[in-house]
Amino acid sequence: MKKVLFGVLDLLAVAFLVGAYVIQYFTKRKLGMLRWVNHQRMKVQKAMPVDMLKYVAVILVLILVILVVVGYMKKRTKLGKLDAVMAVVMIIVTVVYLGFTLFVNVESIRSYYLVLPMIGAASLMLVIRNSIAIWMCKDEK
Amino acid sequence: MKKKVLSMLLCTVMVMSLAVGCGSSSDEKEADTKEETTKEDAAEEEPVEAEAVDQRTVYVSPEWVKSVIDGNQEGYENYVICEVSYDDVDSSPDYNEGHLPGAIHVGDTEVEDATGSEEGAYNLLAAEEVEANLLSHGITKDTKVILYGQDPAGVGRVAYAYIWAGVEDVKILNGGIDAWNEAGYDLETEANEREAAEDFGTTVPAHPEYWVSIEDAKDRLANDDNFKLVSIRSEAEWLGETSGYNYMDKAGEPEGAVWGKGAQTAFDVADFTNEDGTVKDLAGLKEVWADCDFTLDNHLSFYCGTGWRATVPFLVLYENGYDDISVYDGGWYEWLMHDDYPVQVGDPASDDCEHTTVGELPTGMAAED
Repeated sequence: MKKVLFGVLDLLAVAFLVGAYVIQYFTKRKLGMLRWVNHQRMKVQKAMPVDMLKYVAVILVLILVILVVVGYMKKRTKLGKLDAVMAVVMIIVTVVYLGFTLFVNVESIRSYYLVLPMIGAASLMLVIRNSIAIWMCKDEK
Repeated sequence: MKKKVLSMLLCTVMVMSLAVGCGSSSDEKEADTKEETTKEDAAEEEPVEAEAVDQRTVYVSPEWVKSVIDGNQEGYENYVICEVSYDDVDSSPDYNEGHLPGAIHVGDTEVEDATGSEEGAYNLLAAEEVEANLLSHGITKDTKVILYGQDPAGVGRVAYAYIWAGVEDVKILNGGIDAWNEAGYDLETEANEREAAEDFGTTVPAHPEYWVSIEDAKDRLANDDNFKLVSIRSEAEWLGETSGYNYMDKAGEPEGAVWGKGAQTAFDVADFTNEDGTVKDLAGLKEVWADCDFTLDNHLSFYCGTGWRATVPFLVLYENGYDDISVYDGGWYEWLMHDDYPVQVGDPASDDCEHTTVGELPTGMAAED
């Protein structure tokens, strides 16, 4: 069960990252895709304060990551190497997410408002995965 | 062991995804570098001579372009060949796989808005931005510019913008790179750049009369009997069965517009092209327009969705000496931004044509992907 759950979460994280790449790839190359992306962005921007929400989202993810790292440090002797590797991957993806939020904008990456939540979602999948690993480690104690 | 392998694989995939995620990949750059070093040998070809054409001639043959490259066209010493595709050179597989000798890359976004915002609306960029982009390629009003690309409407868009800006001699290789290949001429893969110029030589735009704003289009539709707003859109778009685009929710036409045909879908100008992909001449367009509700004595202001398809008939008339022509740049896209603007849905000659406003139009008329 644990392996299946981890497998699903890992695959989802990879799928979000690959999806972000694919969207940006076609946005750069296909006029129709760019304009569809623009259209979606404008619709979302009309419906909600996207620029504020992106900071709220990244702060939430950062808090979760810090909690996971603290939890990992407490239990690190009971956790395996794979858990250590995935914790590092989580931190890397989150740093990238933070970087995209702070230093990238729609002018430099046209699909920014689609790519950003996908990187955030990948980061969240890794947070959940690592949280479960730490939590189950406690249960197994 | 299995866990280790799995973790390594996952890490590799994730880091690779992030590394290549949002820009040119290092692999692509490496490939570009290799391509740049594999210039094909065009020197073995026989020099070509071709008949001279008028300065206002836009659509030219591969033979004529080759004669320019070979130095056999008097007055065409200061020329530049530009391959046109959307966005930047890294995003253009066509250019990087092979282009005409000496050609540089030009993106449509060098002349038009790419955001689709209410201010930009995919219209031509501000004059100073277009001028700066022209100068960055070393293009002034006196530079002989030869454009080509896969999409006749996308190339037409840049040609129209250059003429609007003030470039006095703009040509398009009719039939694009397919015609060039058909003629048996070589390509090269070396990426080219030109030295920037400092002074364009005239005020941009030199021909503001060729560009019609949405306000002018609405006003002249209402008050100028000689003004014809000509829709260069497919029949389904013209009749309001679909907007034609996946990013426009409402279908219809500005009230008072007439149909100029030209397209089978929102992404072609099939009625204006021959079987070999070349753009038809004026006689060909006259055949297409035989039963249309305008004459060449009218002021014809062409429009489409966002101003690409509309440029093709503009250029054909331009090269035939017509000056009382223009492009309503904003097209259906910008018209949709104004809820109070009048709209017709259906053939205005029929009793079934509905007259309403943008705000009253039903949504859900976007084209499917």
